[in-house]
Amino acid sequence: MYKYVKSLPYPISIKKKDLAMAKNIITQFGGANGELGAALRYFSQKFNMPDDKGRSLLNDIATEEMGHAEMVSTMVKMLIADASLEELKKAGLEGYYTEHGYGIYPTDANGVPFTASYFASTGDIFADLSEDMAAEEKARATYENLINLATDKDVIAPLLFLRQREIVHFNRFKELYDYYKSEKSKTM
Amino acid sequence: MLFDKNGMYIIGDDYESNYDFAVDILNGKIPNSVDAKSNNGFYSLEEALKRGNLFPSLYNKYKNYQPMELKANTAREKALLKIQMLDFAINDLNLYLDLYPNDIEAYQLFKKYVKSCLEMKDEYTSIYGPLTLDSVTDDYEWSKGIWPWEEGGM
Repeated sequence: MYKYVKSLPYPISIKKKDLAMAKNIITQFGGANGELGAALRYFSQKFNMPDDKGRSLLNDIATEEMGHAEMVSTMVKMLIADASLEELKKAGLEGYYTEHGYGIYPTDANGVPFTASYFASTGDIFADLSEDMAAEEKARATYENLINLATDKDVIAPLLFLRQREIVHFNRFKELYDYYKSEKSKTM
Repeated sequence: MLFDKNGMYIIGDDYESNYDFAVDILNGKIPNSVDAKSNNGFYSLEEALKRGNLFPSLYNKYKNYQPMELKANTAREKALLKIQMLDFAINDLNLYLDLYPNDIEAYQLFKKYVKSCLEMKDEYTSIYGPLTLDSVTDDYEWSKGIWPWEEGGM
């Protein structure tokens, strides 16, 4: 069962409107390396994990990622607050506005909507955990690109936090992968 | 080298096709955050949330960016920030303990943080309203107040 906690994992307060940055950051909600895909990937894969370590780690990281999806969406919402139509047009967001108004919708930075084909659930723990490690590295790389583009400290701070979480998750997935490999080698 | 001084990946003229990553990692020339299973202590609650990492052994700095100061203006934000720090440390210990459930030191810290977090959430709820639906207030306050995605929501 899932229960909501009425706070973000890391405090976010963005006062400076930046539509170009909103257009970029939304990819970490609905893009190929985004938080929604991460949450659904580990949520789907957890059902096939073979032991306590795998079941708990995949379950708990999936849950954390949902909180990150909310963080990214919150950043976008704050970055586009009170934007005029002229400003939206200037930032190349008229297509987004046509489809979604001022609403939040999971797309990548180019407006491509989220799809479940961004992730796999193969039923094979080694294939799944290899994908999970790659996913964390790809998300880290995307956050670094976003940090390179960002100029506002209030935007950079949560991006640094989210980048660091990718590093921790990568390590935990790798530890689990290595553990399963060593267990498997004992049986051969 | 394949990395510049900022840790950025480069392929330049001096790229060697037979470059051996493993040798540089073994010699400590490339900061390796991968094999940091060994747990050499924890950051403080504030430091951990600032960095997004409770474990100094796993911390990986990006370029020259320093962890930024956490901002809380009102009394409510200050109280919530303390809860966020505890929630964060509990979450990071949770992931660690999933893999190493027999680490007594980590579990002691986990228990300590869970206990203080429950106390702080009770106190917070009695003043500012519920953070979760399993806390009871005199009137129905769940739907009221600032939501996390609104300014000041945190």
